[in-house]
Amino acid sequence: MDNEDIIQRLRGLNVLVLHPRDGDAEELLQQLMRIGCRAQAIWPPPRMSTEQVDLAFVEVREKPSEVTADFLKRQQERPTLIGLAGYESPSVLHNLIDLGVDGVLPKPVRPYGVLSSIVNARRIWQEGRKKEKLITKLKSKVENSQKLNEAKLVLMRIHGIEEEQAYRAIRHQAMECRKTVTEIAQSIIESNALLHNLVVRPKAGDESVDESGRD
Amino acid sequence: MKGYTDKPWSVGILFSQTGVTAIIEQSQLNGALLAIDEINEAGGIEGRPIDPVILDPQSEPARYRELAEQLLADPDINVIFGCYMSSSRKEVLPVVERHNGLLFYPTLYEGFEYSPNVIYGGAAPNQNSLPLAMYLMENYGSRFYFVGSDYIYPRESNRVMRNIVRQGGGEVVAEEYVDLNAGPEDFQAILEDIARVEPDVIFSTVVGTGTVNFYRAYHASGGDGRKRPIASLTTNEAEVAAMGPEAALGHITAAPYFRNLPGEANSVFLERYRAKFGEVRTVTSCCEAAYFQVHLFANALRLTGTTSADPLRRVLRGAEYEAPQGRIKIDPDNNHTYLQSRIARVTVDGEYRLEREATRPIKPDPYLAVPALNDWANAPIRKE
Repeated sequence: MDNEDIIQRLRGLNVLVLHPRDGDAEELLQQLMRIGCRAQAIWPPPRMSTEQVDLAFVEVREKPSEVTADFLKRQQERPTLIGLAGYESPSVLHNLIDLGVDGVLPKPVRPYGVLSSIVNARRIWQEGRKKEKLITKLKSKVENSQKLNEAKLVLMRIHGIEEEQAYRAIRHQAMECRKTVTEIAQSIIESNALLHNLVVRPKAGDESVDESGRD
Repeated sequence: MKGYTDKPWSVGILFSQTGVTAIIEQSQLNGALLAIDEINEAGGIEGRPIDPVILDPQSEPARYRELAEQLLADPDINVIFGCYMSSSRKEVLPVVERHNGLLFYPTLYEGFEYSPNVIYGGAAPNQNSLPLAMYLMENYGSRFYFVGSDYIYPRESNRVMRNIVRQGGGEVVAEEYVDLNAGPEDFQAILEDIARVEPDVIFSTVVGTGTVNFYRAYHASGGDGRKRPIASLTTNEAEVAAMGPEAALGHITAAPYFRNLPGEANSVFLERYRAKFGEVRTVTSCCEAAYFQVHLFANALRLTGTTSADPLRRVLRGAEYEAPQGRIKIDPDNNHTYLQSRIARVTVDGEYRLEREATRPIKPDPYLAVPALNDWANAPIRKE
């Protein structure tokens, strides 16, 4: 998603304000309404699961809030988080870091800055999510390629064939069984391990017999 | 009527009487002064007259800040009427917020602002850009050429317009900017480009003296408003008078108010304006906005008896007024104003003739990032 998208989708955001009902919460809520977000303020944080929240403003104080942490844990997908902080003391800053907020809105809340903090937090959140997805994808790619290599080695050793032939054999098998190359590679590795274990274990158990026989 | 023994209510006035935006700001100043006269002639507020302290920021944004500081340093002054360009409003804003004063801003602007210390009296883009774009695409075509002065309002205004034009399947063929002080020669290259590109319509966000220079240069280069009009949200009666009817012919403006609107409130307004200033050539939509904002303030002051921002704001939110443009109302959600939405075109005699209008005031939506063509559809229109 590019930056223009962030601005275009502002009005569709489901925003939650987790902050005691006071002047700051009121000011923030009104500005969110002006911007046109679907916004509501709930305090204390609801114990029941709610509709998926896209973005949450959370009060961050010197003491970590358990109810807020519990609420966030219950969300299927972690929403974009903006910390509402009245102090810049190290304990508050520490809690901002621990919560992993995507942005901070200082208190007292003023209408200015709310929109920029939302846009910037969304950008950071989206980029983080994009990177997470990419990392997961790359991780599984590396794993798959390791598996494939291992499976190829097994086939090459057992059948005395070239790497290219081994690969084609795996791919052919995958197509036959309507499975992925990785799944076939996985089965080959597992079967090999199983066969290996079957051969090795009795040997280990028969060692003394063999030895005595030799003697 | 009481013989004013009490101290007057002092209010600050910050409209430039010199510099690049002097034509339009002088018109706003006149509107404000006319309203103050009316209020004082009717006995003032609680028997005390309104006393305008008028300073001239000379169309220099930095001067607005200095003069706003100077005004609000006076313990008797807590309210300012003023500002035309967004750049000047941005200078004054931190000052009125710090002093918890109140700025009445009688000018259309690009939106994306809310301050509890400002009452916005001009149109937001959803009240004028949207209707204008629809009208142009229906009547002239979808190839738009953008020309603007180089500061925030034109750039943001063009961004809004580009969005709408694209949604309507149209195309922005060029987007050019000139200096705020642009002279006739600065438009030469752009006019040549327009002749070459042949757009269906020119959307101008040129403001100040550049407006007169641009329309005149367009006319001199053979441009004809009846065939390929320049459409604008700011060009007004005062500038049309300054450029002359030949240069203005056929061009289009979208605004909440035009001088020759029918209606009792407007004819009374014009009569009094003529009596005070000897003419009505300089009456514009921004002048009308300054006029009704002073009346809104006076009505609020009658209820609060103080010029402190907090009590004033409380009664101003939701306040209504029968303005020359028709009934208007301050939106309690955002301090902007429900306004009429109209489109008019200059005829051979140099007068705006109404082409289309919304049948009721339109709610301001200053944070509309992506205007959709159908947003205006819920406001029925009346075609002339």
